[in-house]
Amino acid sequence: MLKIKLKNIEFTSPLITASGTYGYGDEFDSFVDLNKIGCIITKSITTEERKGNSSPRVYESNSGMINSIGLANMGVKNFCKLKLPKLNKIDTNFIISIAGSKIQDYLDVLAEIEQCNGHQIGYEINVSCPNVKEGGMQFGLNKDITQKLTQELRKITDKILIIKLSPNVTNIEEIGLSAENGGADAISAVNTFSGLAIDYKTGNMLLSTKYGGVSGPPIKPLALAKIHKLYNKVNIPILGMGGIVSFKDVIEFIRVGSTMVQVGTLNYRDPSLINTLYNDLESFLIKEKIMDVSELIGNYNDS
Amino acid sequence: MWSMRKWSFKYVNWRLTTAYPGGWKYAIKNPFELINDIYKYLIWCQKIDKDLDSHA
Repeated sequence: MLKIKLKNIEFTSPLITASGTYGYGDEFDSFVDLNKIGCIITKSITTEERKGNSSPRVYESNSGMINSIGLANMGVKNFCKLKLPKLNKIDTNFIISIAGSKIQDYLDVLAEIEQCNGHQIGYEINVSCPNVKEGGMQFGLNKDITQKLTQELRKITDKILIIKLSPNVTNIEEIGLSAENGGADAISAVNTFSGLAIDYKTGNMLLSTKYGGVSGPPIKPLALAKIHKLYNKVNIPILGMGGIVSFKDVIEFIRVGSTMVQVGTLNYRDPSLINTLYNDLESFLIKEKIMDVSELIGNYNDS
Repeated sequence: MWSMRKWSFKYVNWRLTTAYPGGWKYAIKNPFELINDIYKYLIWCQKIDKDLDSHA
């Protein structure tokens, strides 16, 4: 009933944990039923270890969150040595998120992981990183660079390749199409929206980097609009995300065109709540006599 | 706070690594910042819980 297929891989549910919100994936097996999660996406891995931005780098806004963690991670060598063997044993699929500051970084990380006998089913490419060679503009803000990056990555892996789109663009459909043309199997939409937090009394910025990424329930309507636009333009599956906290949100994202959905900020509240989403979603489908969750994909009425 | 009783050491360690450069070492060196952040986090949890209740 909740099973979904993506490029011949079967997932136990359409629920995915978003990158950066579920650690490397092995921190939860003792208190979360991972079998109810369709897939875990690891935090983004880079060529070298990164400590990330200085503190404060997380700000809890009204029922949302602004973060500027700065891709803190252990680097690809440590990841392959310390985390991949543990991930190989977890009770669900996992996808590895990759980040870089130039195209070669992404290629190096992916190539190194490919040699490590991991059971990952694919890769999610975080293109919301500054492109050092192109003056620091994010990869995902330029359709040509997005397409070139996707093409280069496609050459070195047959596994599922997902491009995670930034919503901070005028025309997200254009970037989605460039990922599709580059050979991506799916797109994740959307990453966090650019935001800022300031103390009204002191005038102090509340993040060390001033700007951060806004996530959580406040961005849900914005994310739904972006996904709806993408669904009407691209022909590859969309992994929708943006402020999901209940099974109703999950269904809304699926109805506007998501094949699967990613749960992010909710995991910071309680990482086991995703199991509740699974149970609620299953109960809803039974109650409404819907045999297969995929019947709901793109199932909306134009008014 | 009740739901946090299930959290594993590995998970708490990852949360600290996410919040601070240097993870638990930074948290130990800056206890007031840690306590303040935990307080703000608990307030935030209440707001999220209201959101969850409104969906029930």
